[in-house]
This record gives sequence, structure tokens and C-alpha cells, in this order.
Amino acid sequence: MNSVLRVQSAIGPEAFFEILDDVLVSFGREKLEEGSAQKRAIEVLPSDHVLQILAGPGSGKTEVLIWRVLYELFVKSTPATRLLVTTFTNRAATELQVRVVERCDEFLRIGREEKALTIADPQVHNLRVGTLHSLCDQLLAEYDLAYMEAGTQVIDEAETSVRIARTYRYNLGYSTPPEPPKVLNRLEQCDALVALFRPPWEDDWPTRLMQRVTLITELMAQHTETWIPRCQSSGTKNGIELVHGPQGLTEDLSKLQSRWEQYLDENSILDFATIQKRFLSRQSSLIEAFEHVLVDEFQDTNPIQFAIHTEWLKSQSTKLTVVGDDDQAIYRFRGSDIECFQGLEPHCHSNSVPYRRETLATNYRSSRNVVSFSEAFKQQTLLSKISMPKTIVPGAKAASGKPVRLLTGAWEDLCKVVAEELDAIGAGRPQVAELPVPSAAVLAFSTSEMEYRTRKSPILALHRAIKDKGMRVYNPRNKTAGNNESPVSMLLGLVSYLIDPVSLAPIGKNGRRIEVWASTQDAAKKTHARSEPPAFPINDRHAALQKSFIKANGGAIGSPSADRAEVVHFVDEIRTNLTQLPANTKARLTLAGFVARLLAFPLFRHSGFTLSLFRQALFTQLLEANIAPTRRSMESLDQPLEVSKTAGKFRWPKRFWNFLGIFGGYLQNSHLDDLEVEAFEEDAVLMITFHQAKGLEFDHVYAAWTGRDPDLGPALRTRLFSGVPVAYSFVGGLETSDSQTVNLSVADREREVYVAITRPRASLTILHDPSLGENGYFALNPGIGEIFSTIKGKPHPYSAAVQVKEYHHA
Amino acid sequence: MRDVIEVSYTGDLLGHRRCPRAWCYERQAGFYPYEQVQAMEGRLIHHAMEWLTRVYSETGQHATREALKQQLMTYFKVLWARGIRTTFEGKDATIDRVLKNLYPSSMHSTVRAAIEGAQHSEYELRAVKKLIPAQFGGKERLLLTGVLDVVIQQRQPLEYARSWVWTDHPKLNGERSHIPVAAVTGDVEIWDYKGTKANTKYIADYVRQLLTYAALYRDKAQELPKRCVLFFVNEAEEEERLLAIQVNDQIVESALNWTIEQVKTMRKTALAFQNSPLLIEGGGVEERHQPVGARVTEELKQQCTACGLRFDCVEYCTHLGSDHRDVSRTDVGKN
Repeated sequence: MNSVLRVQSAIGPEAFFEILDDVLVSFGREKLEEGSAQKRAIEVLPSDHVLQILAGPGSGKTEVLIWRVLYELFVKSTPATRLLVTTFTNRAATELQVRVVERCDEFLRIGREEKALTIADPQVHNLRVGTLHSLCDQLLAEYDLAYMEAGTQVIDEAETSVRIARTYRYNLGYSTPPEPPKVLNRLEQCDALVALFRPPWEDDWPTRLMQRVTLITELMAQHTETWIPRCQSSGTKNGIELVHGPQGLTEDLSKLQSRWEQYLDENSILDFATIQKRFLSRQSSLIEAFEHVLVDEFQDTNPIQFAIHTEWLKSQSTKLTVVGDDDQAIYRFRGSDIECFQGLEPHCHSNSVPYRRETLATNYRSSRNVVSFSEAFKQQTLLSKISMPKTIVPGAKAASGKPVRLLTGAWEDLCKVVAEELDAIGAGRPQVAELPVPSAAVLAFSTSEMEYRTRKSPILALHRAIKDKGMRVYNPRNKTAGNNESPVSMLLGLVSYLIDPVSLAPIGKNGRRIEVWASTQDAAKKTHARSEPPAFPINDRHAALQKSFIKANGGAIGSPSADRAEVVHFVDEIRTNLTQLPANTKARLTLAGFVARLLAFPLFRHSGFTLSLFRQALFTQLLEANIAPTRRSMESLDQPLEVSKTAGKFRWPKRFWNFLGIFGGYLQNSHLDDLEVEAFEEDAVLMITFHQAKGLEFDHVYAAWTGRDPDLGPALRTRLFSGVPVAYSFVGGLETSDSQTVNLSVADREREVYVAITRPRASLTILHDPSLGENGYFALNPGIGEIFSTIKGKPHPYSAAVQVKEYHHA
Repeated sequence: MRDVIEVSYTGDLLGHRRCPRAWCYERQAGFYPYEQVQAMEGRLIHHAMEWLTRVYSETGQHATREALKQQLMTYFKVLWARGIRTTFEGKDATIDRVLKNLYPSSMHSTVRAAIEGAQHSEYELRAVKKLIPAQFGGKERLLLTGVLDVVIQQRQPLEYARSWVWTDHPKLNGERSHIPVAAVTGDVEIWDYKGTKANTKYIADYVRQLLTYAALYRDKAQELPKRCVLFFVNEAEEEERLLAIQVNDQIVESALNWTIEQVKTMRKTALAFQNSPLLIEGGGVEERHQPVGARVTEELKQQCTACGLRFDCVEYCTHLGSDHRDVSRTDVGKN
């Protein structure tokens, strides 16, 4: 509830730009050039209804966005409360808020003190800045009394997954044969549908609980974010049904989504996909509240977000400014569609909405070599044919910089060379004295450090090589946070040991003692377990984690190693104490309380400020994600631990078995990433994915694995869920002869690479090991290969086994 | 490396002052607190006041006691589902107490004054301040955020039986006094609801918080409020419920400076935590001068008894004695 006051303006456009230049200079930036695109993009013209700013990498789009906001406030006297700015991440929102306040304060100071102008303070603290999801939540709470009365809360992805895992069978509709198939069975049996969501590296999917949960989550998100805004009102069926059937597929998807929404409502919660749908349905009541909506990173908009942003245009007085770069659209795999960005102009024309476009084509971030190389890359790839028109040029004061290099060699040699180079430039170490530490990053399509028997992780090898040089490395998306020796798995292993302790029983051949536990599917083993088996089958991954914990460092079932014995005996004592309570006494210890006690042991608490600490924290967050869905039921995991001992066996209520099964299954399939901890990445060499690199910049960038095979799945999903009947086959992998879809998937890959190669300020190096394969993940991008094809190589000074090719701008 | 320190007044600044150790594990490392027992009543009160204000603003009528009860029952379930718990009482007793404080028989006159005079509720405040990097561990900018419960413009005169007097201006310490303060019609005030009683140990913190909010409010509204008011919703004594704090430029500036000094201390704690988490001691910041075991106040104890970090907290274990069941790891009769 905020009152709206329009402050009296005392400033015209000329004075505004004059002070703006002074502010830019005071922040160490260049003045705006007369007649420049930046200036045109900042000015809010009386005829503006939609302004689309096509902003290349390093073109200062955030600065332009900030000044366009300030133009509204200072020149147009628009109250700050009537402006809405959406960003892609919370971090970007914070940065924008801080910068807008700084610019505004300096503007007021210069205007008042140096120009002697009377300028009203525009109260920039009243601006609404945030991610679309957080703004949807905030605005619904403010404008929708029912939303506020229900106390609706937005839940995160982990809790969404656990809730689906717990609820899909009963609330969404899934049966076990021979029962007749229900809606989820029908969807899961539709190979043409499932093939679109199956990860390219999986052959038989989904087979496990959490794989099914992933499928359900992605199905509902794509249906909500693409099909509903594009097809629902016209009654257009999903393209999959049109091409492959079965009849009723679209209806089943709608049924699934509506059941999930009903479940969410009953629990006063919303997930990320559904809150957008909810907001769109209520948006008409608050359209008049805003005069100008500004959207950053518009190229990664999905169709429902596009519907939200264009819905504002139904008010004649609401302006929409969107900023983005079609060449940097990289989130199709999460449902975004570049068609939204490219389709804004046609949308405006067909709705008679005035439209203006400005292009920011000067790259102020990178050296001339980097800018020239990234432009050459576009010319060599499909992007040259499909990009919106713009040619990126370096800033007038840009240095030539170091040549862009292609390093080719065996991965092991490349790791050594990269580590040597990073060491030589002083990256990955805390700042000493006044000299700033150069920022450096290794970018790759995937930074998974998962290792398999037959497949080593190249990124892990590089991680180790850099770390061995004494540098700090941070790779949050390593996919290994749930590995056996991670505290996440250790802690679940200990909970597993409490409930379903693995023991040895003489039931093997010739009376050999073998491992037995209650939740195994093996009838003989479960009979001899120390706990009474659960009344229903559960995923017993938890038992593997338990065994791994107890057997570590030379331990064995029944005799853990010395460093683990203390905590194992503690769990034994707790279990015993729970079963030996005095008469008329009840236990009060809960699952969360038990974990809090485990964390107090030196094994965990003495981890230092390391990845281990953050993995303990991650466990507590996942624990909460598992407990929260139970709280409104009789099976609440906030109830005390409750175990009895009858006939020598521990008997646990079913809620604990459910918990073990779901949490264990979650760790088995989710390839957990670490928490992104800002303090931990300070002064570290970052190893991040192309997607994570979006919006960031570094002094030095190494980019690896630029030539992965194009993935048809996301492109087909976009088209088919938009109601387009694209012919495709799915047996033995996705294939289509539809050139538009193929081009979408190829362009997706090229854009990822373009984002990576436009991050550096000073130097860019491409890494390539031909022996890892010329197809698949480790290939060199054909466009990059072409650029270097005519350049002669030479041995690297650190290792003759590595060949160096250097690209110089013309 | 980002050069911004983000500080939420309640989540960070007050949390750090209560116990730097608990603050570090939760806010610096991401540990989820396993029990949030203190929050239920405060959240119910805030929700009730926000809801009553919204209903009045949209309908021009005050909600009935029964309607408020229904709303609280709904919201209680939502909080319960998010892991928020009552301290020692059940749902009915907790809701009854909130109701009794807001609607003894009819709507309490203070509540009525707050609702009818509300200009803004749940008012977000933000400030960006430049920092000297050397003093703040390399950070150059501070983003300080807080949420003001309500901005009121008095509809009729109101007398506050209690007001704040300063005993140590430089350190911003003071005490409640019996000096009455009168508000006249039209006075703009900022109010903060507190779920505690008026004799809370943390009253000086709350006063400094509200004065800092007054400084931030001045940034937004271009003028200071006439005064700040702490509303102790759970206080049974009628005259103790409201505490008026006089406001002027000098005092809010001092409060803001005090807050920035606290941020400096927080940053030092964070850097020490990054050096070694074990170095961070439990117990209140204001009690650092006390010997180990004497840094837990009675009020902090209510937080410690439900803290997941208490089992190896040197301060709390010393305070209670290591054989106390509250810190015994194997006592299953206590959570």
C-alpha cells in the first residue's frame, strides 16, 4: 500500500544529458557521444510505447537501462513506484539497485551543487527491481488480497522435486500395473513425448523415481510456459499429438498441470513456473499501477513471460523497454525461446503498438582481438544468417590486446599449460597489497567432475592441475556434491544407519556372513535385517551411502575405522535410547535434531571454510526440502523419532522409510551441484559453464569443448509445445528433416559459444584435445576450427606438446 | 569479486548482534536453522496487523474479531508448514494471545490508531552507502535493507505514556521513561511491531533500528517522521505498550553511523569465519567483555535452547554446564 506522488520536475532533456555526462566521468566512464545509440536509447520519447534495445556484449546495456530509468524520474517526473525493472538473477537486481542509487545521488549532487539547479529527489528507493518471479510474488502479495490471505509462499526447485516425488502417485495420477493406466502412465508411455525430454546421454529413461520426477517437472514447466500462452486460448493441440498422437495427449498434459496447481493451492505454495501463470491471470488488475516496465536479458524470455511483458501494453500509458541480444539467447533448455525476442516487433505491428529499436554495437569490455574474433565467429556460423542486424565494434580506446589463441594438444598437456599460465599471471590467489588480482575463468559447456569407470572427467583433471599450483579453484556446478565422500551422502548414510542399519548375517553360501538390511528387495536379506522391513518397496540407495560411510578408510560393517567409530557409536546410542525410554516418557528428538547433533562432531564441524562446510549446509537445505512437504500431513517428519523394538527388531513408522527412499533416490539421480557461495569464489579461478558465464566478465578466459553436437530436444520441445506439427523420429535418438528446427538447435550451440568468447576483457584462449573425439562434447566448434584453419601453429613455450595458433585482428 | 555488502537489518545486523556464531553458519555458510521457535508469534502479529490494515484500506471497515481469528488460523497453518513453531504453547493458546492483545473485547485503541492512520504498510527501505574498502574487507558499497511495519499519519491526538531518554548519547544507549509524549493530528510516525514485552533486553537495539529506519525513511520521503514508535503487542500493561522515540537529524545520523559500525564488525566476523569457522564464538556481541559462560542473557537463552549449534557451543555449554541435558547429544527426551 503506497501512495503515489508525482514530483515536480525541474529539469529538461538537455540539462539531464549534461549532468549525466558529468556523472559518467565521475565514475570513470566516457561521456556519451552526441547522437549516439546510447543517448537515443536513454531518452524516453513522447511517442515511445515499446523500445527494444539490441545490445551486443560489453555495450553497457545495464548503464543504459539505469539512465533510462533516471530519465523517467528526472525528466518525465514519473514516480519511482510506477516503474518496474526485471532482471535475470537476484545478483543482477542487487547490482542494478546499487548502481541506480549511486548514479542518482551523484546526479543530484552535481545538479544541485555544481549546476545550481533545483532538482527534486526522485526517491529511487521506491523503484521495484527484482527477478520476474520475485516481482510476481511481491505484486501478488500487494495487489491480490486472496494471495496475501492465503499466505502463499514460493518454493524452490528442490522442494518442488520432493513434493512431486511424494505426491505424483496420488495427487497427479499414476498407477502400478495391473491397475489401469492413469494420466502419468499414459504420458510416460508416450515415447514420442518422453524422447524429447530424455537427456542425450541416457538410453533408458526414466526408470528411477527421481528421473520420473524430472520428467514430470519439465513436462509441466514446458506446458505451462509454452503451450498455455501460445495454444490454450485457440485450442491448438500440442504438436506431438498432431504428429504422433496419441489422441488426448494435450488433454492429459492439461490435466496433469491442473492437478498440480490444485495441489499447490491446497498447500498455499507456488513453484517457479506456476507463479507466472498465476500472475498473468491477475495482471489486469494492476496494469494501471505502472507507467514503465523495463526488462533486462529479454532474449531469454519464455512464452509465458513474453505474455506477461506484452500484457502491460494493454494500457495505453504503459511503456515497455526490453534489452537483450539475440546472439546471447542460451536458455532454450529451460523453456526460453528466441522467437519471443525476435517476435516483439511483429507483435507490436500486428497490435498497432508503436515500436522503436536501438542498437548498441560498441563493445567497451573486450580488446580489439577479442571483438574481432567473436565477429569472425559469427560470420563463420549460422548466426551470420539468422542474427538481427548488428556489427559489433570495439570501443575507440580499446587496446589490441593479446591475440586470441587456439591451444591444441593432449588434455593432460593442456591442463599443465593452463595451470602454468594462470600461475604466471597471478590468478587464483588472495590480493596482496594494492595490486588487484586478475580475474580468470575456465568456461566449458559442462563442468561436471563426475567420474565413471569408463569415463574420466577432463574438467576434474584441469581443476587438480590448477589447484596443485597452489591456486584456489571454484567449480560450483561440479555435479559431485552428492558423491560418496561428500558430507551430503555421509549424513544421509548416518540417518540410514539409524533407521536401517546394515549388518552381517550368515546366510551366504556355506554360512558366509553377508550384508543384510531391511529395505533391500532381497527377501532373504531383509528377513535377517536388524530393522523390520518397510511395508512397501523403497529405493535403497541410502543403504549404499551408509555402507560407503562405514567402510571408508579401511572400516567394515560392524567395525568402522577409528575416525568414524565415534559418530557410528553415537548413532547406536541414540537408537538404543529411543527404544529404552522410561515408562510414560516420549522421545522429543526429531530427524532435524538428530542431524544437528551429527554436525557437532569434529568429523563435520572441523572441516574449515571448505567445500565440505557448504555441503553440510546443502544437506540441511535438502533435509528441509524433504521435511516441508510432510508438515501438513499425519506423516510429518517434524514429529519425534519413534522406534520400538519387538522380537529383536527395530520397528520404524512408514514416514521414515518414505524419507529414506525419496532422499536416497534424490541423491542417486540429481548429480547435485554445490551451493554458490560468493565468499568462496572470491579470488578463485572460476570453472563455470557457458550458461553461468552469462552477464559476467573476466580478464582472462579459457574456453573448452565448444563443438558439442547440436541437441534437437529443446528445439523440438519449443516448436511442438507451440502447436507446430514438426515431423520427427525418436527411435535410436531424435531426428528431423525440418530445417527450421535443425537450425534452432545449431544456433543454440553457436550462441553458447558466442557468450563464452565474449566474456574476456584481455585474453581469450580456446582449448582443444582432438583425441577426446571430434564429435560429442569435446569437439572443436566448426566455426572456430575454420577461423584457425589457415593460421600456422607453433609450439607452446611451456610445452612443445601443445600447439599454439594465434589470431590477430586485421 | 563483488564489492557490495548486502545487509538486512533484522536478518543480518540484529542476528549478528544476538549471536555471531549462529549468524555465520546460517547467513555465511547457508545452514538451514533446524527449529525456528521464536518466530511464530511475531509473524502472526505482523501478518494480523498487515491484514487488518489491508481490509480497512480496501473496505473502509474494520475486520471482526472472528474474521481475524479465521485469518490467523489460516496463516498459522502456513507458518507451521514452513517450519515455524510456537515456543512452548499450542496453536489455540498462541492465537488466543495474539487476538487478546489486538482485540481484548473490541479492537484495541492502539491497534485502531495504527490501522486507521496507516499511510504505508510493509514499507521497504533501502540505502546504498559508500564504504572505505580497507575498513570493510575490500568491500566498497553497502546495500542496507529493512522493512518498516507501518507509516502512520495520526488521525487524532494520541498520548504516549512512555518515551525514550538517552543515558549515553555517543553510544546510543538509553532507557524507557515515564515522560509522556503527545502526538497531534497529522503527525507522521513510523511504527515497528514487536512480539516481545516492553522490558526486553534488546530494547536499545530496537530503538537504534527504528532510528536507522527513520534515516532511511528520510531518504525516501525527503523528511523525517515526527517520531518513532515501538509497539510491544505482547505487553499486558497498557501504559507500557507504546514507546515514543523523539527524532531529529542528529540522532538519526548517529544511529545510521552506529549501524555502519556494526556492519564493519559483521564484516570482520565474516572474514574471521572464512579464516576458520571454529574461531567464531557464541553469545551476544554486547556481552563479549564477559567471561566465557556469562555471555548468554536470559533472552538469548530462549534462542540458544532451540539452536542446532548448541551441542558444541563453548559459550552455551559453559553457561549451562556440559552435563546439562540441553547440550547432551544423547538425550532423546529433548530435541
